[in-house]
Amino acid sequence: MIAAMTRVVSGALTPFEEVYADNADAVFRFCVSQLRDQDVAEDVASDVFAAAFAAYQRVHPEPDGVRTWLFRIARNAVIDQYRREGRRRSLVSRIGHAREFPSSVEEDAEQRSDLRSICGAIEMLQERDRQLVGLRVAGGLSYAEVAAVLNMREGAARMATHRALEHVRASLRADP
Amino acid sequence: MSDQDHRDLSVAFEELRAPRATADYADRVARIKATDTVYPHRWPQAVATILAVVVALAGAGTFLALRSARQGGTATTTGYPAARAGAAMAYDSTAGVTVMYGGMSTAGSPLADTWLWNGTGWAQSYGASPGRLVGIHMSDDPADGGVLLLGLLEPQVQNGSAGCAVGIPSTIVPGGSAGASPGGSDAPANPMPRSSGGSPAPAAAPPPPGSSPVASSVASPAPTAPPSPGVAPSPGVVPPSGPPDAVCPVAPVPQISPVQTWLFTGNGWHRVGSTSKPSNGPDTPSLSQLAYDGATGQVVAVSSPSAGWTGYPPCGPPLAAGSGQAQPAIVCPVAGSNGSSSSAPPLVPSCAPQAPACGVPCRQAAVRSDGCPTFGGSLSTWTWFHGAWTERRGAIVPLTGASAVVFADSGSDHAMLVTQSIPNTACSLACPEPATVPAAQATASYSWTGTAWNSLAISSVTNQGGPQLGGASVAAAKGQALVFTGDAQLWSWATGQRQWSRQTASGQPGGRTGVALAEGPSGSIVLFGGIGIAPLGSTGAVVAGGVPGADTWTWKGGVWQFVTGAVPSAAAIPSGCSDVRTYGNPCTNPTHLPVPVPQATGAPLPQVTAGGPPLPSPPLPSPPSGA
Repeated sequence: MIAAMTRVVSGALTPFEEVYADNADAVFRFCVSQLRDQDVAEDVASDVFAAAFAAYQRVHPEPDGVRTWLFRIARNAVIDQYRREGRRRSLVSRIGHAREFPSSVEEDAEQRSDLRSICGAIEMLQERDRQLVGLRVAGGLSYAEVAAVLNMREGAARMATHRALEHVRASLRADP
Repeated sequence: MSDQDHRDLSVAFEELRAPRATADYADRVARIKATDTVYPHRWPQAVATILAVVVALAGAGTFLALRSARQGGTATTTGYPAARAGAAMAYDSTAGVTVMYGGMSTAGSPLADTWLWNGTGWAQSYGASPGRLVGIHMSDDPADGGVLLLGLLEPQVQNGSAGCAVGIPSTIVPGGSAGASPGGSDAPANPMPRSSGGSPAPAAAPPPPGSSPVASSVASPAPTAPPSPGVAPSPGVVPPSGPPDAVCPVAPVPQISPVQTWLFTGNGWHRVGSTSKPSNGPDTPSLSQLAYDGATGQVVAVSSPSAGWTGYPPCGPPLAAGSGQAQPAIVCPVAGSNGSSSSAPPLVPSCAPQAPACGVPCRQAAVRSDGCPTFGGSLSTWTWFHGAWTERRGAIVPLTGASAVVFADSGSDHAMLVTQSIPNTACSLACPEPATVPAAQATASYSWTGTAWNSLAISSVTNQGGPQLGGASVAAAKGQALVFTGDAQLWSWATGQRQWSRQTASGQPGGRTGVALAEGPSGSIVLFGGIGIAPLGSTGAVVAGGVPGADTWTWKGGVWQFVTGAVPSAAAIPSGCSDVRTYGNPCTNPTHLPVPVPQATGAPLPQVTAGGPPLPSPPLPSPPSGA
């Protein structure tokens, strides 16, 4: 009964399982776009949802703000991962290459190649541009959501993302 | 630039699916957390829940007001914070709430409560607390999943005992290094006597091994009082010769504990970092402002070793939240420090009637051989990263004035530092000080690179005006930083244009200092409390000593909205005072006795000694009844 009461006084909150189901793929894609390495992206995505769950009831995000909130956490997690990247790269160089985009299935090869190229182009961007493109292209966020995640105005997010995408395309054209 | 301009690139990501391992991990964490949620271990949460059930069963319609829901491991109860000034506040971007901690109560004592602002209302957070910290500053710390707090335990000040010494400023030999910490010449000076460990040390205890030499201005006992065994002259400090200044009648020598670092997450407060120096962090907490640098994941702390309050004022207004700089001070014409008559206006800190009769708090600024306080020096920078503070010795920024603010600039994702200097004519270290002080100017802005401050060229427009940073509070949200000044001006910083813009809006909060200001949910700015200051004249001069407020305001879309709460009130100007300092002006001379009424030439000066009578205090107005 106490548990039931708690639910009542807490107000309607979308079950976290639904939040996960609705956003797991998008968050994972964003992490891949930022980190390039699927293994690492998987770990970071896990961390994102673990942190999100820990804070979910306390934050009590509005249903239409859950996505933005999740991607804010993801963005922070990616930044944190970048800080560890130096050590990881050092380790990888000693024990071999990490799994980036396995292409064990022939028919996936072309798409994996595209993904690798795009992630490579994204990686060459400045950090803010990288996040803009990742949120927009990989995460599938609207410009309003991108702006909310990055704490900027929607118009500015739209303009900056457009410019960043042009850089990505230019890189892809230069190095197809 | 259509909404479909990314489709060609998005296709490559569409086949990606979150691996099963991710879901397994999330499920596993969810089960663990769910167990913890159903069976809370903290008795306040259990009691609160039972209370809610009882009230509900009784059919009382008020049970919703008594609800207590777990929020990530810490119980909270809706309510409203008491009036305060100098509270620390920051936006917890991980949780999406604004966290406010502590501050000074109306009675002048430190508070230790924690409140959460969700954009519409306040809820108190229970659980572990840092205790009654002072000199507090807070920053978002998404890298650690919460907000970071820096402060020190409330110092124990004892009047008439070894804990107090007559505050005759020592004299620093030119070129000396009073208060230099053991870390090196560019380490932040530590002008405070310190105790070991986390609790206040006995008043007469000698400095612990490894602690920094004590401050200059409070270090040397006066001839009129027995030497304090708890303090010793610093290297480079010589006792004053000749008759001492009859100043700071009973300058307290607070026993100050080391700086503490705390992290607030969903599970309450946790002490983090090493408890031993020097890795404990920045030394001068009242000046150690914090800001998160999103580009590097560091929390950047900036402290100044040479200006402002270095301890906890036992009376007078609380430390300003935004700058930690000099408190607004009522200045009355009095006689000079050497016993001769002078027109120099000395500093008269405003003491609340209920404050300890330990005399007037003195600014423990370094003092030159001519008795003038020194200003300038350098700002030292520390970074908090992976649970430890690191001093960035290569990031020294000269501080030619007194004021500086640090904030997270969301436009660049870097921490920003803005320093402000007083024009030379105003702060030429002359004694007596000039009667009027020109407004300070924003002169330098820096962006944090991760290891150093990168100087930014400021547009000429900026130097024509800008916020008076002394006593101001700063918050950043939605691509702009806002500075709320002591005289109730609101300025925004635009990174792209590198200039300040004055924001004007009707119905804005009144003049105050010690404001808690931070980003709120949905890109708003939330303001709470502060202590009232009265504007005087057209120069922006202010009088301090008012009553803290409990009012909440939000700023969004260029509009202030008053939420609720009693507004702060300002103190009346005491009779006989004809001049006030510009708020935040560092050119306050602590070496004069406060005398409320101008005396004719040759009039005898009152002599105040240790344990003497309390000094006259400005009248304190009645608390406001409401907004």
